[in-house]
Amino acid sequence: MADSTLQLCSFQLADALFGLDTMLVQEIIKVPEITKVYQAPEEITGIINLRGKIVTIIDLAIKLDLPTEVETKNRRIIIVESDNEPFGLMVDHINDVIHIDGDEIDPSPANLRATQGRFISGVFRNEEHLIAILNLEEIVNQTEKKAD
Amino acid sequence: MSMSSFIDDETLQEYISESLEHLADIEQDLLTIEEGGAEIDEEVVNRVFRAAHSLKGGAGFLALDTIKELAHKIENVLDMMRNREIVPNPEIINILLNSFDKLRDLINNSATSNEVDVDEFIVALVGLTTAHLAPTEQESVSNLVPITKNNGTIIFEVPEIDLDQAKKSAQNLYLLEYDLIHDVYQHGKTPMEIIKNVMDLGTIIESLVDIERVGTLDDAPINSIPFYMLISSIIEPVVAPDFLDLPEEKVLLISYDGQQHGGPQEPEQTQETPESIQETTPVTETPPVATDPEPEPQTPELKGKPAQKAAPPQAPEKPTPAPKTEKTDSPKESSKSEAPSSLRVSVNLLESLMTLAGEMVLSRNQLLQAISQQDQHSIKLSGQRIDLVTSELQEAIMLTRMQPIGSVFNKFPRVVRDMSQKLDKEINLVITGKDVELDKTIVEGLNDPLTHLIRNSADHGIEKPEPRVAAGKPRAGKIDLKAYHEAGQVNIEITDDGNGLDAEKIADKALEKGMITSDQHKAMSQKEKMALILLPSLSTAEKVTDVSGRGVGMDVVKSNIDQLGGQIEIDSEIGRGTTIKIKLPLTLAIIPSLLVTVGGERFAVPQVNVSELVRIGAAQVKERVERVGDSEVMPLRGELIPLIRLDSILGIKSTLANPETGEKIDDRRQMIADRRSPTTAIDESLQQVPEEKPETQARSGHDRRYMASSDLNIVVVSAGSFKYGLVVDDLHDSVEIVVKPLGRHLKHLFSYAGATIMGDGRVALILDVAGIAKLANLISMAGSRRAQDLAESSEENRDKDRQALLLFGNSPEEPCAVPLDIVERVEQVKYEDIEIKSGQKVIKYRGGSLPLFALADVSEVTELDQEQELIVIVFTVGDREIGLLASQPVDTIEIKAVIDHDTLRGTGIMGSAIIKEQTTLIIDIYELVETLKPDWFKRLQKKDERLKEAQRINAGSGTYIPPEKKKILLVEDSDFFRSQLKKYIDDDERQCVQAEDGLIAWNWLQEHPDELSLIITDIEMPNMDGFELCRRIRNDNRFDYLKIIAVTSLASDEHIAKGKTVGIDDYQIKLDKEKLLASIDEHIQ
Repeated sequence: MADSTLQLCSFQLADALFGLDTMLVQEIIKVPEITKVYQAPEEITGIINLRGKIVTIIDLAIKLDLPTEVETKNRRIIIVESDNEPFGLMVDHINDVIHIDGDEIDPSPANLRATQGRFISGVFRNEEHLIAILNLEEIVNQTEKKAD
Repeated sequence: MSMSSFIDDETLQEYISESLEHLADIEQDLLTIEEGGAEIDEEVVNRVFRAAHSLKGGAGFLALDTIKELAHKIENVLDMMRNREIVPNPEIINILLNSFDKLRDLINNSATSNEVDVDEFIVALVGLTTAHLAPTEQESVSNLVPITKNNGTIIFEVPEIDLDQAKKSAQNLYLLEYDLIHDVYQHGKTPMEIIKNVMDLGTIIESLVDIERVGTLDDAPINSIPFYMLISSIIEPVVAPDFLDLPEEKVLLISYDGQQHGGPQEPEQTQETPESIQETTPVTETPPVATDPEPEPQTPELKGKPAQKAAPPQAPEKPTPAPKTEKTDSPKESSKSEAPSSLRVSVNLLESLMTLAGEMVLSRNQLLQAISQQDQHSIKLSGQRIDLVTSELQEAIMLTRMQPIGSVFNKFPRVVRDMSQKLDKEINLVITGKDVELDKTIVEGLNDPLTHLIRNSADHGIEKPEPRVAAGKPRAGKIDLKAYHEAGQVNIEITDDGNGLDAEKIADKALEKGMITSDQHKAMSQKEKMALILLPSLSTAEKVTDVSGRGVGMDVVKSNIDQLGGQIEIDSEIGRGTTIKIKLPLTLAIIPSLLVTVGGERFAVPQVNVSELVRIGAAQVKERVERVGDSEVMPLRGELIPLIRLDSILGIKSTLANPETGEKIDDRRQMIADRRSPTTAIDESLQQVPEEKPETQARSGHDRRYMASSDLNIVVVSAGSFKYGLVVDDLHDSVEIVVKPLGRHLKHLFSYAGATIMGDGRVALILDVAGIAKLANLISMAGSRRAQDLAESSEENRDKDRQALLLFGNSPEEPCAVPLDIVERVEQVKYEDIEIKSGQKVIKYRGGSLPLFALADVSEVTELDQEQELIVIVFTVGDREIGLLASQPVDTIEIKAVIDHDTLRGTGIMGSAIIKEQTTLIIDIYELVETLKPDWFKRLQKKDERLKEAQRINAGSGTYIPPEKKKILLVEDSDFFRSQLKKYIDDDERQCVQAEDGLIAWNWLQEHPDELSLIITDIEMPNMDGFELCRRIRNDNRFDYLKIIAVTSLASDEHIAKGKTVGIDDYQIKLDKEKLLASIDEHIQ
């Protein structure tokens, strides 16, 4: 049944493909002017004004310990919500929304580095790509610990 | 069957919230009653009585039996009080207060209230009633009288006393039977309204919902729930049914012995045949519940009740429930922290909100239209309109959140009363400013910290009566609780006249605990030491409580106040009392803030924290900013303000070169602090001069770190009791900002209090002033020995040891200085403007000519360079104004000058001092002028004559008799002034005896009581000041002959008046030599 189908919003960070359940995505915006928050953890790019709400922006590349690319105009922010608080995830490039079957998701491979491993809930493989599916809660909640 | 199953939540909620409201003011009233004693204020007693009564009435209906019972017993006591059968005393009030407290508890936990044991209270209350009854009446308390219906069913058993009370006031007793279904719900009423209505008409003695009659699962559909009330009322039987809105047969008149008489017979009928009810009640529709074929008997009709109630045709009499409208007019009542989820707002305010919302919609429509038509003019107009409406709307919305602080304050009389009883103290609490309104959240948040502070004052601050009397204070201590507006903020002050805090002991404790270093300990001011009590690990330490008398939980108080965006300050004097001042913003949501930028980033500093703005010109930075270890400080009016560079503390790209360390420490101690003598003309000219020529004076290459253009912008902020300066790039406007919280990742950052969205849509961070101090590790002054030195030297600013000097050049190699106090003005002149008339240099000045002198006229110094830009320093010598020619640069300095009177002594030069590492000549302008123009000085002529006369006599007699010098006692603590004054005084005829302070002078006088001719004294001195010295001298008749001249640097009228009262004969300005000498001549014996 439709139960196991999943729509993934896929996006790119450096060369790697990632996906996030579309149900978790509120909207995708272009990168507005970001106010830097000094003293904040490294992966926090800053805060923005999203129609009157203050939204914390997390740079996923830094978070996932991937090489950060020079800023490109393809960069986007995926707005998500966790515990009633909006977050923005900065990604390099937004790709398609893909429909997948829940059965097609494999557990994340054991050789993923420890830092990354936490944030990946599973892996989807199709003919051409390997898409790592993000564990949103881990990403937004683990940030404080990295602060030190 | 459980009661709660058929009492709907709504009714219970209504009851609870109303009961809590009733209870809110009870304490105040009870305390008023206690104060009044035998003088009973019936209105107040009635109010309390009615509160208890309402509680009882509702509780009866809701089957909250424990509450009903307790309320009833309280009511009995109050009733007797009302009838003057009981005279209130503290003991009785105690019982009542405690009982009301218990009631409040029960109501807050109404679900379990019936299981609570309140016997203790009941016994105490019943004890009160019986104790005040005549012996014959006493058993009436326990005697139960059965109240029966027509058919003989016993409905209530009522204590006889209740009936007696009714009898006493000649009231009628009625047994009422409401049917909750037909008489209440179907009439569109609520049980609470019925109860209220009844209470308006009389007094409810007992009430009961007849659960037995409701039936069980097996019974036929329920069609009535009887609700019985026994009331006493003055209403006549004839009109009672109408008033009570009940059919006649349900109002039974009861005799005082409990028998019913009157009222129709056959009451059963009414309960068992629904038809008859429908006939007697004006309900037009057959009630759906009554005809419902399959009700669930366990949770029956009442479940459907709200729907029925909402049906409009069924509420004909009272379209809006009366009690509601009555309350909305007085939002002040609605202020209990127990029910924070709802808020009462006045209808007027709501209406104005509606109007504004309407306006808003209208403006939006106009705007949309204007945009679609591309009508620039209309767009602009709508924009303005929306702007206006928005601000009004904002204001109105904020108003809905405003609550009087009285809701918190009102509980304190009770707190203080209870504590003073417990502690055997006498304490008067004086409350002012109850009406001051604050944001709801702030008012609520204040409850705990204020309670704590008040308790502290009562417990640790105020002493017991005996020690107070022994200390010469009134027996009763006093706590002042005051709220008032000040500069857009609300201040709350708690002042007690107790034994105060010992700052030293607190600081010692902090030192012992390693919370401050011993250097810090030494460098801290009293206030800073006092503020240590707010540190967590210090104040929770039990020992400190004993020593300091305060402390436990002060950190909690502080963190509570911090959360509210407030500040707390402690001021205390040992033995005199303590004042704790809390400054609060009116609201938390919108705060005025100062915008600053650093490294291109904008930040908002809450205006509450900003105490002043200081800009230090690039040229002055080196002098006004001191380095202490690796931090910077700025002396400001005798205080040392640590500086924090916002960019470096936040890690914004720092543009600073690494500054040199430790060089030229002595040099740096010379700083420009604000001088005390307000010679405005000089201030102006001096401020301009260095700005224009910043490079000339000793600016060596080492201060590259401050470019000529880099003025320092400093926001002096206060975080609690201490201040620091935040160095920023630019200062901008003050704006009102809406505070938005930061997300969870950023909340833990000390530096920020939140974020805000600026007019351009971008986000700016709001700085947390206290957090930044924490980040910078500033407990207070950055501690080190240097800081301590600086603190000391800064304190010395207040002494006269430090001397303000005007620095100027004679030639670049010959820096000179004169005491700033005697300088009138500094003017710039051109050499061409100087004329020479009859051998005297003059310049046209203020409509006359100003005689000019130069140092070179009398001393062997370099002639002034005529090519240079010249300045004229204007002095008043004698009655004349004269000018001293000098050259740039001009500067002022405040230093502790050590003057060498020998090495470079010369005419017009009193000596030299090392200032800014240069040997500087100190000019004696009087000597200079005296030398050049002796004929200007009558005094000199007279003296000359006296000398010649003496010589003539001596010559005539042939023997030389040295004239006996007259002794003048000079009391002055500043070395500089003392040596200066001595020089003025000492001559062939007079001799100066010096004393460094009043005490030394007084001791000297004891040994030499009759040697003096005159006393000249300073006023402000350590150990004993001039006033005290005079007072002593004037109280000792050995010194009646002596005249006293006081010298000060600043003679205010107030000073002079005070001086006159202690017997000072004359006042003179210290350095006005001519006048001083004239005065000496006049007063010397």
